[in-house]
Amino acid sequence: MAVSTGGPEEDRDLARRFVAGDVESVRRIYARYAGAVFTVAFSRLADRDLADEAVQETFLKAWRARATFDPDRNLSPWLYMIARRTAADMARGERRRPATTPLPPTLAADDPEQRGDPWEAWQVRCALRDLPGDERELIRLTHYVGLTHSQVAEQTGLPIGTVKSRLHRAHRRLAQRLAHLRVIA
Amino acid sequence: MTDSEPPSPEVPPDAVTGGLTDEVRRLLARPELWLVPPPELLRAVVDCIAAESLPREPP
Repeated sequence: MAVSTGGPEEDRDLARRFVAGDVESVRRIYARYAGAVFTVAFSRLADRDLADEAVQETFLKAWRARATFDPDRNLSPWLYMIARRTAADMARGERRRPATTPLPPTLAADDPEQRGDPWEAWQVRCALRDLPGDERELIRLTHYVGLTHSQVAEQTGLPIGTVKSRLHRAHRRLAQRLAHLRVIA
Repeated sequence: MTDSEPPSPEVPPDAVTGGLTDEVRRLLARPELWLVPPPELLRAVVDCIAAESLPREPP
């Protein structure tokens, strides 16, 4: 799916269309935010299928509540709140299941304390979305896959100096985009 | 991505991962930052919304 990297202006335009009931605006909003909604849902639920379900539920709830949203405000925190509450409701529902129904393995094994602040995770996911694709891929290979710079160079066919300089640029972009998190911390 | 971009020798190795907080770097290693919902989920969302948006027939 091609993800638009439009900024606040595009968000406002989308929000206006969304509030007006334009079904097509949902596709664009989904393209921009489904990943971040998934991140928040998975952070709470630690289960792939439940997180997918929470993504669907979040967008449906947002649609049903669209008349309450002021389109001159930022769409991102509003969607985040709906996603967080939806995931929390689903987590409570999972805990209320009879004991004969085992928790999903990942939910039982993963420590919620290790998952951190979901708002921070949301912000990082949105910042990753806005990176150029090649830089995002280098960040993924380094931080998520855990490759060394040499291994990234081998896998991508890039000279190692290019890997390092692009990673440096990507880290700088992310750090600038996420600078406000330092202030909060 | 191309091979033609020259490396930047001015970037010292210890600066490559610099600039990010430990918390952000920890988050970048978590699967939920990279997993994406399945493509068919968008269709499900749009279908539900479109169905809810249909004008209702009077009783």
